[in-house]
Amino acid sequence: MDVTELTLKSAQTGLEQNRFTSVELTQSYLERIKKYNPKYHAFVTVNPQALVEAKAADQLRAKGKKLPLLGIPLAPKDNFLYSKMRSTAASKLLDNYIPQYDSTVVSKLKAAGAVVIGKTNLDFWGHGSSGEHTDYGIPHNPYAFDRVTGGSSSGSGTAVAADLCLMGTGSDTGGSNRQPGSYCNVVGVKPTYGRVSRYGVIAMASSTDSMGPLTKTVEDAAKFLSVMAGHDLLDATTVKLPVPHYHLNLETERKFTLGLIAEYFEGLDKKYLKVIEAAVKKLEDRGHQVKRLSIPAVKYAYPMYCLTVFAEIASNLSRFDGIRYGYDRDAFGEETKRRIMIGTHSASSGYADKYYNQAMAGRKMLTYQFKQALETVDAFIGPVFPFPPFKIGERETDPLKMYLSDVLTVPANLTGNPAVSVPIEFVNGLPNGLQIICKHFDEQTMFQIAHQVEEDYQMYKLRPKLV
Amino acid sequence: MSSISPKLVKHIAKLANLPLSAGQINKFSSQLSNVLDFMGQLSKLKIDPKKASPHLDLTNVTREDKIDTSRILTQKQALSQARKTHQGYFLVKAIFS
Amino acid sequence: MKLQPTIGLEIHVELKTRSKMFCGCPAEHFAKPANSQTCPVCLGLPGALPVPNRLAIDWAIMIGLALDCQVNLKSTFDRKHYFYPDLAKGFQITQYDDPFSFKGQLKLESGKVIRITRVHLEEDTGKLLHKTIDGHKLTLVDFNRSGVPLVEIVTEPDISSGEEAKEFLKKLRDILRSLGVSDCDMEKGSMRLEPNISWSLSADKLADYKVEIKNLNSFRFAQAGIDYELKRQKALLDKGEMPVQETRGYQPATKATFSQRVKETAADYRYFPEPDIPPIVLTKAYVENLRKQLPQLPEIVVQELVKDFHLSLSTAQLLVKDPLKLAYFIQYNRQIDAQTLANLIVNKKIDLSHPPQLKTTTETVDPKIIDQVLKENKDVVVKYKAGKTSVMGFLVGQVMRQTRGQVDPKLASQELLKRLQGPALKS
Repeated sequence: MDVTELTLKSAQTGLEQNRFTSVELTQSYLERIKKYNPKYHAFVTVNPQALVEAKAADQLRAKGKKLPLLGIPLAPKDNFLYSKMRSTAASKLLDNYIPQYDSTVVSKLKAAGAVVIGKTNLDFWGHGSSGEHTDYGIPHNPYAFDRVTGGSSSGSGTAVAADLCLMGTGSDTGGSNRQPGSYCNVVGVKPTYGRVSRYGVIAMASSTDSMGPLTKTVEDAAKFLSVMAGHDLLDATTVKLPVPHYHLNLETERKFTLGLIAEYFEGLDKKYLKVIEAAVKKLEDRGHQVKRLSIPAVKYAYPMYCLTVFAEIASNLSRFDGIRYGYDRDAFGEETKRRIMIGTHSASSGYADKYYNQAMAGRKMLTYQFKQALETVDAFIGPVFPFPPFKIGERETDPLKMYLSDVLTVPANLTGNPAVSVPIEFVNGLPNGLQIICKHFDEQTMFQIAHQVEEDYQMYKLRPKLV
Repeated sequence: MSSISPKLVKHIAKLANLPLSAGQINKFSSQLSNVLDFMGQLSKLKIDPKKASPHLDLTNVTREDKIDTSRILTQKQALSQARKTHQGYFLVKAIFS
Repeated sequence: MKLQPTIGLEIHVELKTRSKMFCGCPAEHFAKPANSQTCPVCLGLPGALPVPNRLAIDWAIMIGLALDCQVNLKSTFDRKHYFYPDLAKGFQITQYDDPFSFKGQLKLESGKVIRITRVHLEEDTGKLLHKTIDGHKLTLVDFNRSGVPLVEIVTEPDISSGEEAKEFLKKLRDILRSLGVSDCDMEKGSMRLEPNISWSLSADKLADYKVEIKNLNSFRFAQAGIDYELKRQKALLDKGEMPVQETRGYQPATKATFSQRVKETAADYRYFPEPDIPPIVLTKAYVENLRKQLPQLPEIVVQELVKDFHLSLSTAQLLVKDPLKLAYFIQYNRQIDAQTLANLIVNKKIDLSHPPQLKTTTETVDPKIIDQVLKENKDVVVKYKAGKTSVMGFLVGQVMRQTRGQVDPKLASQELLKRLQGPALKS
């Protein structure tokens, strides 16, 4: 078996037809992890019990047990708690933290028979869109070793792209699944806020955190999400809607109306504009309609994001006082301290009206404008990143410039809409994704459109040459 | 033009319970000014000043008044990740109220 | 311009729900082994999320209704940020802009109205224990209390003396107990008071300072502490000095207050809406339904006890003060003479955990029981009247059965005799 050829679907077929066992599959990935992880830093911690879990899965299969992810080696981002392994959120503050409980998502994955092969790297606490802010080695882009992977789900993006596991989970607060999706040539999904439980995932910003998959193909992502998603009594912001089997309904004859929002294209690099327009043209050739529209509040989305999300960051990180777990607050990395400072100031007395309250009211306006616009189209189509993956260390010095790389992904987090990055044509020889944003809880349409884009490009067939 | 003076940085750091070095205080003073000056453009947006909450459409999500034994930690589990404990308690430096 | 004593109260009451405010840990925490009743939520572990307790919300609203408050049909929870070792998350979930209820009142015996500013719901903190271990001063933290539902009741500064404060608190406690939502045990800390005190021109024109007193664990101490503080401040003001804005403790031994902490600036709690908890939106019908569940106010129950059962005012008041005693009285007052029962209960001469088992202590027999026995045994009565006096034993036995043996048989026999020899029974 060559794991670089595998998708979730083909791996499941292989397991079902007894062409290989979960132990063999897991072993193959562990060997690649051993070989490549020291350079690529995709994992913070490899699960020493991975083969034990794989063996248990094989035994279940031998007994005739059928489970949706039985024996599939996958990797949660290291901010998803799993009581059998340490969870660091890539910050040395939690270097030795062994959680006392499992996150709902990991519980569901385990109940579905999955093998946790390891915990993936991230910008610590989710604080970054390049992958460079981590205490556990900066992940390197499998398609261009000296370049960033996108973040904050940098490790999951790297691990899936480099075939170090089949699938990874990520948490998308301002673009964290779509950005490494775009830069690592994989599918990165941000589901609707409330679709997937946040319980047991170390919170970055409570009102925008959305947990979702990073996978090689749209079909894999669709199936993975149908396992992760659903109402959770322990998360009061999850909804009681049934979870469709998204992967069984990817083919459609429907003709969609696709919205191009002017504000997403303003000042976009010409090379980017060209590949996005080419992708849109292919969709038009399939009979879909394109409609151009404007959502004025998008222009202010980044300030809205910064002033509300950073306030939540400061609040959510208050519990890390070194008393009940972890080390003292001076162990926070500098980027985390910067965000705590900005967020604390935004909500503080005398400034809250200018910053936090204004941003929150703006957010309501943006949400309303998104809703109105999505009554006239089925989806928005646009870029994910305003520029290609840059060289590691290149942008580190200017926080504002770094923050603004999130400008195209944060609107969907503020409004709660589902969004995906699906790989399209490379720009300057570097990976690039197309962003598709849909109505609340309409992940099905989002996957259908993404599936067609994937058929047009089939970028998953391209494998990186690892060093 | 710096809108966040080193003095204000120190005040914010105190609110946030963050130990900062002298170097960080100066650095943050200029970086935070830069970032917040940029974010200040938001004031150009004409907005209904009504108080807004971050929630989507959900309301009234509550639980029944029932004991959930499945999540209760033993004393040992509760203390397992603490650096300092004493006879079943978490231990901190003396606090004077 | 005459200054007058201006006192406002902040009262915290722990609700006696089964589980905590935002998780399923037991809310009863008194004398439990340290840190034995916590879970990821109330221990503030990474990733844990709160889900509010419906009953605690209902009770908080009922407290507001019992205090004549208006109810907010849309309420939110908010985060109040500060760092302290007993605060697991670095913020307390409370209510800031939109509490469950506001603008109520409670009337004192004199007819004076004390306005209620607001009644809101929040979570309790853990507990700190200060110790010296091996010569080092250390603080120990127990999170069993963390997350217990806490209702905060805030009054306007309408109170003018320690005595008024005490009366207000007693009335409030009686109401809360009659609602059955809290034990209001000052010693166990399930009811906590923080009066703030100043000499001001009026409740609407407050002084530039106020002094808060903490650690008052009885109503008596509250009264004494307030009176001491008023005197202390007055003496300063008379000398032309302005009292300092501060928090003071109370020393029962000396009946004096002492300075604990001077507040330099107002704290900055950076309140914002709790993103993990969607808003609570109530219909008017829902609120009205809660209002219907309110028991009668203690004052009204007292009046009814006096009128219907001819109890003395003081006995009635004592019964009403304790919901257990009142319930017992209501359950059993048909079996025993009401006044007798009431006296036994308030004098603690009866075990409330069992039905009344009185041993021949009643001095009268309820005439209704005699009537009933005679009516039910007409054939026996006929025999008696026909001269067969030996059947008297049977009739006495019947009376004893009806009264559960609480009557002296001799007395029963006398009463029966009186009736049998008296006017004929109506049938």
